[in-house]
Amino acid sequence: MLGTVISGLLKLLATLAVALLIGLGSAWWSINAGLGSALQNGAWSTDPAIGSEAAGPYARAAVARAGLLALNKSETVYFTASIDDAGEPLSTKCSYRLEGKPLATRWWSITVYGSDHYLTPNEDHHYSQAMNTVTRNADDGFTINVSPDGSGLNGIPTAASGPDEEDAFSLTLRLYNPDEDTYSNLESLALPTVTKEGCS
Amino acid sequence: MKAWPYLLAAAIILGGIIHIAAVLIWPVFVMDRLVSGIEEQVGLGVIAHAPRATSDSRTVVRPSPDLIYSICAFDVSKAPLRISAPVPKDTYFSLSMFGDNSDNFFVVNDSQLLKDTVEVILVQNEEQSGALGGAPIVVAPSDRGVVLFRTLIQSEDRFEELDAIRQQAICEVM
Repeated sequence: MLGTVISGLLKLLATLAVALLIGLGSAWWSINAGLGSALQNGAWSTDPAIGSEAAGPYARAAVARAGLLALNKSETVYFTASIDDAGEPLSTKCSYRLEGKPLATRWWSITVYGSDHYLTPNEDHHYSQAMNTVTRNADDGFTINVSPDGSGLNGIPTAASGPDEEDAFSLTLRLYNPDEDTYSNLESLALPTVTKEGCS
Repeated sequence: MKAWPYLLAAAIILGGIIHIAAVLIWPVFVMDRLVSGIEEQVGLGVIAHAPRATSDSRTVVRPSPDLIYSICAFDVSKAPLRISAPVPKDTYFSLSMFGDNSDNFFVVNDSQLLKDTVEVILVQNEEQSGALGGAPIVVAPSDRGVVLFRTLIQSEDRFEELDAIRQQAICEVM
């Protein structure tokens, strides 16, 4: 009799443990799937519902994890890149060249974040390039070099990109007060290309 | 009869319920942690001016190093909150508000403001706003949340000027 009760309790506990593992594990995976998986534009992805009261539960949870206090799209459009144009994950062991054309927005910036979603440590406290800081090319476009040491024109360093110096990193492109056309062309906007130059 | 297929089915169904609950609760949990953290440090309805974001900044994920942020946590269940700030010239500035589920329910920027000062009153509901006059009223979708001011550092030369201007912003429980 006692053996049957203990066996039943163990089965119940095992069921609960499996349910917790399935439920919390899949929830955490969904939350960490990243911001803006709704629309893809080259290496960049976004979700127009970011920050919005119309956001679904998954978009809202992803924002809480990787973009808390993000503004809604009426104010700012956020694009995130965690891959390059070839679809390979961005790595702090590699160097990348971003080539961009003028963006139809009041202000833009491109910022490097570590795998922990915080700014990457570097001696110069240099984490981004923006409309008001970037040196432009002759055609008014821009080239940004993202590499371990941040060398090159408009360089941003990626070294020591996250906890335990994990090698994954990501970029956020912010478009503040973009032109009205932006909203209907999120998938076809001419966003900066992200090309891998080489790896160490 | 084998019991394990039934137990596995029960685990999957229960796992699905836990999954949905966790996804729904996560934003509320994160916001509650943020509001409680600000409450512990400076109190509710009190503005805090964050230093410029660096790799040591850990209050909010993915901060912009090109902006300076000021923040106040609110709880309008007992009293409205008066918010005012001078609007800096020739740079981006915005006043935004977030509910307890992280939704951005209000935002206004410098290009939309006709005066050199922005002032709004945040209330719990229309009834609470009845006795108030003057400044525009914003109804909060939740009792608790945060107000966030963003100022773009247009150039490093202007940092001290813009930093001084943002420090004049006020959050005040009425």
